[in-house]
Amino acid sequence: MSDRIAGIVILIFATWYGFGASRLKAGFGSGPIGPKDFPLILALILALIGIAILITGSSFKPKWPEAANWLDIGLVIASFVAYAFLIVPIGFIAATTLETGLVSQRFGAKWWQALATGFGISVALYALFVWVLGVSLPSGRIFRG
Amino acid sequence: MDVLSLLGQGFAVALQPINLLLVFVGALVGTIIGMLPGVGPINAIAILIPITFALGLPAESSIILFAGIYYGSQYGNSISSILLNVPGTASSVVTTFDGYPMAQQGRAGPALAMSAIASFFGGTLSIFFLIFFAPLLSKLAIKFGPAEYFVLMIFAFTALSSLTEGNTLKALASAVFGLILATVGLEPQGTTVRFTFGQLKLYDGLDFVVLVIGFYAVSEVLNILSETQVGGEVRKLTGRVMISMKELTSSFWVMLRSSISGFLIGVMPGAGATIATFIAYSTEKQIVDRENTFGKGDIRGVAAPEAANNSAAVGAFIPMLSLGVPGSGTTAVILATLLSYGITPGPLLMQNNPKIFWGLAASMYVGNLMLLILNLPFVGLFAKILLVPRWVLMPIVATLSFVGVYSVNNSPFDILLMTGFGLLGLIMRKMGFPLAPVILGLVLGELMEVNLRRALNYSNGDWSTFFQGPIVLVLWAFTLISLILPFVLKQLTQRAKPGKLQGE
Repeated sequence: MSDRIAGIVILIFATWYGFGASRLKAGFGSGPIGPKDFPLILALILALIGIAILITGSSFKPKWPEAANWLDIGLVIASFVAYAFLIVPIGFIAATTLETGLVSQRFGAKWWQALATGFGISVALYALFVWVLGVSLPSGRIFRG
Repeated sequence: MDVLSLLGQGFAVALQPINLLLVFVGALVGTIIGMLPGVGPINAIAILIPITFALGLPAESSIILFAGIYYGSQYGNSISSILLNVPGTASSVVTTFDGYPMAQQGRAGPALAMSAIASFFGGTLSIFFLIFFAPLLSKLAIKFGPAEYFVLMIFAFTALSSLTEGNTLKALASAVFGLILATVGLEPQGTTVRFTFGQLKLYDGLDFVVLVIGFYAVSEVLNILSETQVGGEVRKLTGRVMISMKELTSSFWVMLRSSISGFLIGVMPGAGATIATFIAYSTEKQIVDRENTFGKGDIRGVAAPEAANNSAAVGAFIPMLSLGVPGSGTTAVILATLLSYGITPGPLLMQNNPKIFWGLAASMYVGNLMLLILNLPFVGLFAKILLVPRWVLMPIVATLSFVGVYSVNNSPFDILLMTGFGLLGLIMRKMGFPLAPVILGLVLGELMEVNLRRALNYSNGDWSTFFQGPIVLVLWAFTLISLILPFVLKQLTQRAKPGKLQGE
């Protein structure tokens, strides 16, 4: 069943992609084939593969996570998104401590262990990357007054 | 110039202090990430790519580091196979068959020693083959035109797809999906911008590092989170990490055969280290397993896969370096690194950038020596890392992913992109779609399109150019064979698996 759904999703994606490709306009001097031909070929091949998966749809059964695990996954993904918005305003160390603490807690740490882990990792990595390797990481807009 | 003087030049590169340091770092990181289930060489290399750029390392130094991580991981992966019964990477699944029973019998020491020695044996022997075969293949590849390259890349995809575990159709779908992702942004050698949805940040295409980290590292963190696993018991490392002369001599021919077959399989696009281990194990089971002790803690059952996977890891560099077409996820990532330095691997690499090829080959000798030392006397230290709880390890992986992705463009947008691809990667894993073909497609997409267009430019739009000439026809034949071969291999590998393991 899951393979059939996958086949349909692939087919829809290939159609959408192929439709997008067909509307591309060529610029100057593209030889016998333009910017849309390679994508069109890919769309066609992917569509064929999608149909083949749909037809042969095997007995493959995915091992979906349990509801509680979905909650964990959702939380962690939400925290990744929050991280993207927080890293510049509050800086690498604060954002990473919160983020890493949450991941650690979801992987079974007690809250104080999680916070300590998060703080330890973010300080250690900040030191390694910024001071040793010379990579620039945001120090936090709010702390600059 | 003869090989020896070229190799001498290579050692001059490899023995520079910075490169010695990088080989050591590569060996160390490789051993650790190889050992940790769920973190593989692809993650580590992808995270390090922006850092090597930030440090301004020359191309040969980056390659020496990344290669060290790759073959180093083939040493480390057996540690968890033996002590935990959980393979560190897919290519050490076979090592659990005899390695874990040995540890249960209190012979973890000899198993680890054998694994390190066999890894060293396969790892160093295969460098000779590399030095011998890569120039030969380069000479052949110099005759390749764009049509040949285009078909060769098709072969790389079918080979990887058909040899990846699971459904070949799904693997092909993954590969095409990777190619599609590569079409985002400005078209190669053209003016049209494709599939950016008005996002200015996508004009340069999807950043390779962001995608790989999302697909591999983030989806792995999510994947582990999604499984309520029961942690295995870490076997105590008792006794000295030594083997007797008798055990060593009984394994000599096993290691030699496995190294040779492992190398040849590694050279084939797509096959790689995992398949090499299954074939080496099943071959040795037929040749030397007279008392039916394989699967019950036979030290030769550790020697065979460990020699094979290290040899295959070196072999995998050949198509990448001398043809410019990688056959595995890891070598694809390394190719992407070279491309971003403006170096296109291929038949001219050895002429134009001898430092890279010979420096890499020489560094492999140095690296394997370091790995032998790291993995024999110091293996006890590494084994302690297995005791670090997951709630420390996983946040480290997540944070390293953030740093790696953020440092590419200093852009929070990339973190969102990474998260999106992480979720997609998780869903694909669960649905049985392999991720390595996506990476290969992403790396080869542009090259493939460029070669397609060039070939058709030369032939004035005549598509029959892809079916003319002996080389393309041979490559098409390979492509067909690669689609048929998995059925044969499936028979072989199924015979290699001891029945009891499937029940566990």
